[in-house]
Amino acid sequence: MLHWKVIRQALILFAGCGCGLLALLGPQFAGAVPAPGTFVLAVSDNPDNLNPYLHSLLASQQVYGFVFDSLYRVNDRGHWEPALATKEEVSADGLTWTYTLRPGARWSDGQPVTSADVKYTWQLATDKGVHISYATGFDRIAGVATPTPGTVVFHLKAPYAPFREQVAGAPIVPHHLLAGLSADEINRAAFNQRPVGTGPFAVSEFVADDHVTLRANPYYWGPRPKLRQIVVRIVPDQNTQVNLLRAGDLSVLQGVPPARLDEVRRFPGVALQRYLSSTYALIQLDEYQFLRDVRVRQALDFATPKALIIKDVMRGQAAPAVSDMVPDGPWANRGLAARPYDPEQARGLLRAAGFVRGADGMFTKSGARVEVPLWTVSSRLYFVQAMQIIAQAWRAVGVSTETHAVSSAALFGQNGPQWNGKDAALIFSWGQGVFPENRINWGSAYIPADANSAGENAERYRNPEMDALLDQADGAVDLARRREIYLRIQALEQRDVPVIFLFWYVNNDAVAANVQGYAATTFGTTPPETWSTR
Amino acid sequence: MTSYVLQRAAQAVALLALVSLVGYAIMNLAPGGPLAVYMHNPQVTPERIAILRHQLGFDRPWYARYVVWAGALLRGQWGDSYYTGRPVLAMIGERLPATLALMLSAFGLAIALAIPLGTFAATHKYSWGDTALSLGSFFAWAMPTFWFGLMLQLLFAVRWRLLPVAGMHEIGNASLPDLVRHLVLPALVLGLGSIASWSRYLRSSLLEVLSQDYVRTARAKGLPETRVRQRHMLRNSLIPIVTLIGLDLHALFSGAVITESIFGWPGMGRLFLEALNNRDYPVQMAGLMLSAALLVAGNLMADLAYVALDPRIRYR
Repeated sequence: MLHWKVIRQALILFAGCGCGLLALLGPQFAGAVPAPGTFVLAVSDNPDNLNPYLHSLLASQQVYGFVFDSLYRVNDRGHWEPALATKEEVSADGLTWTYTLRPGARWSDGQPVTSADVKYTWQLATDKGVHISYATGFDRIAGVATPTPGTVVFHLKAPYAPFREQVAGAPIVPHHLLAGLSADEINRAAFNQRPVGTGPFAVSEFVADDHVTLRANPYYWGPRPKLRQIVVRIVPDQNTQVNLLRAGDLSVLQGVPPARLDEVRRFPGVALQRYLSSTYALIQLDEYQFLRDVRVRQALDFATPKALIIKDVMRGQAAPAVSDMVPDGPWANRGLAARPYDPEQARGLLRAAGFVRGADGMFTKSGARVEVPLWTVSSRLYFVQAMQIIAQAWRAVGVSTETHAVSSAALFGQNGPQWNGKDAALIFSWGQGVFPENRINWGSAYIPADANSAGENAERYRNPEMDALLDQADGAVDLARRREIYLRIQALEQRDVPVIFLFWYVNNDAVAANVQGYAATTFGTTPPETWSTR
Repeated sequence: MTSYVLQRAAQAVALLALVSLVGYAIMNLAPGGPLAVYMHNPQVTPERIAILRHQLGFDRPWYARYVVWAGALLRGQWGDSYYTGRPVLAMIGERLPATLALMLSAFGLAIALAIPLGTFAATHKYSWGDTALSLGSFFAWAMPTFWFGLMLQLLFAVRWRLLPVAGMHEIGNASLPDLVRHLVLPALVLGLGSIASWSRYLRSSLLEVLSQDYVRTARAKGLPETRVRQRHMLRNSLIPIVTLIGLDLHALFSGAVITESIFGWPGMGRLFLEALNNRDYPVQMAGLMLSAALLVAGNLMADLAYVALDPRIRYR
């Protein structure tokens, strides 16, 4: 019937049904507040692959981090401590690394952990048929010996100082489940969604784009986890993550968006933990023309108001950067100081480099203006804001600059500013991590030819002294000597300004009041087996 | 009629082949690529990227890869995701129930509300009710989905705690009432745009039909008003709605990216968006082909529905 009265009745009925549904569901809906023993956190992406050697996303790492162990691991204070191995011995020539495995360690399916697993991990990581993404350092191994089930000996081709972080700190995968598979089968294995590890938790359910449930591993070698389960919810929208936190559905929200920080601070029953991230923001100076002159790069460093950006753009959620080593880590050169914002010194350096200031206030050389266009990714509002501040400051000094905010694909793609043969300055961030290796950033062998070739030295920085130091650092197994080399590398970074270090990010984790034992630092979190919820 | 359907099917096959070629070319020629995700990762060495490039076949030209992809598709193989290593069909299959649940709910809600609202607005032209519905429709149309979704979340889930914030189920609770609780907000957000647009189309279509000779004739010959509205007006005014529904059919399967993202709904929209971001070409191509095929099928079904609605329409 289409009489308007009937239609009106239909609409009223519909509205009534809606209210009834809410009334019916409302009292039943007790919310999704995690039960005691359950810890809920959120990640933004669907973990693509839970095999540590095949994944490409941070979200995967956030999940498999609960599942796998390495021989040694870095704790939340940045110190190495034994994990699956209990003892490490390095030969005097740095070519042989021997590990004693933890007696009684088992996989989450109950099988014992043996040296065959460690050897197999090396074989997997170097298998050219498998879609390996993360396997740095394994190619430096000449062979792995397994004299006993509890002993594993790595023989290296040449001394390789990053061995501990790259290989001893890499996850060990099970020989008994993967060794019988071909490379192609490993690429498609069910293991990649439901892995078996030695960590404190094991994946019990993986619903794509929804959640991953991890149950406490009864065979874990360490202290029995206090939690019954960890649920990793996959929620792409950051605002929704904040709403989940506010509704009490999350135990922890890692990396609260800076724009929501003040609001989150006021949420009842939520505390914020602030710590330095191991990611820094930078201005990459592409050395094609004037930027090849170190004095021009130094002048731009003096002309960049970094403190102002930290204060006004990052709202204090960043820390000053001097080099690429995280400031509270063991590798930072604390003797270095960042160049202050000093327009006069910047102009002085440009004059010393032979530039002349014209009537319009802009510097020229042989009739050509110093032009350094600034580029950044449009999706990061704070980069766009920082770019405007920097452009204004550079122009005030006498350097012509235009600003461009474009997509990542346009910025780093084949037709991007990095490849057009002109000076350019790119603002973006780099996840350096807590370890010092930076060969691909500063080594002249890592200058990429185009957008599709490998290497991260797109600024085209060339310095034989730096190349030599990077080679020495690779071979310096002795920690003190290695540190000494990295201090010199940082001094060169500061002197030569291949990039301008803008700031280190600060992270904020929001932690629910019923959570105990959770703490986050630059180096990681407290061990998940020590977390609990009331 | 049969020859018409066969002719349209042949056209559809040619169209889909063209779509696949153009789509594949654009994806492959766009800046970046599947390996871009590794390029700026300090943990992935240049040597490793070179190996991956070879493994995934990116050292061959795009047209050579297209031939391989199209040949496999003809044999029913949709390929494997570059990132998960899993068959694309399996990845789509596991998201299909969530997508259908959300889309059918939103569709059902839209049809259930748009037809009475559109009819009411047309039969009460310029009344306060019509004006209120017009304003409401324009508001609903103009309102950004993400904003509306977040506002509903804040009110119903955070403030009043009547409904869950996001997700498809509470952990460990796969019951139907739990699913319905989680469906309410995303279905409402998703359906609202359709309710607004379909009811407006229906209103204007009904107003046009109202002045037709056959309506005047029906009334003149003494038919009851309800019969005039039901048989002569509504049926004839449904053609634009059928066209819209036909065009929207592909959305049933390809998902709704923004709504799914805000409500953490594990549907296909997010799968295809992730594939787009990661340049996961096999998944991207599956999404494109599925969407294109359903768009073509929806159009054909709409054309065939015209015959049922309007006896004057004949296909030869």
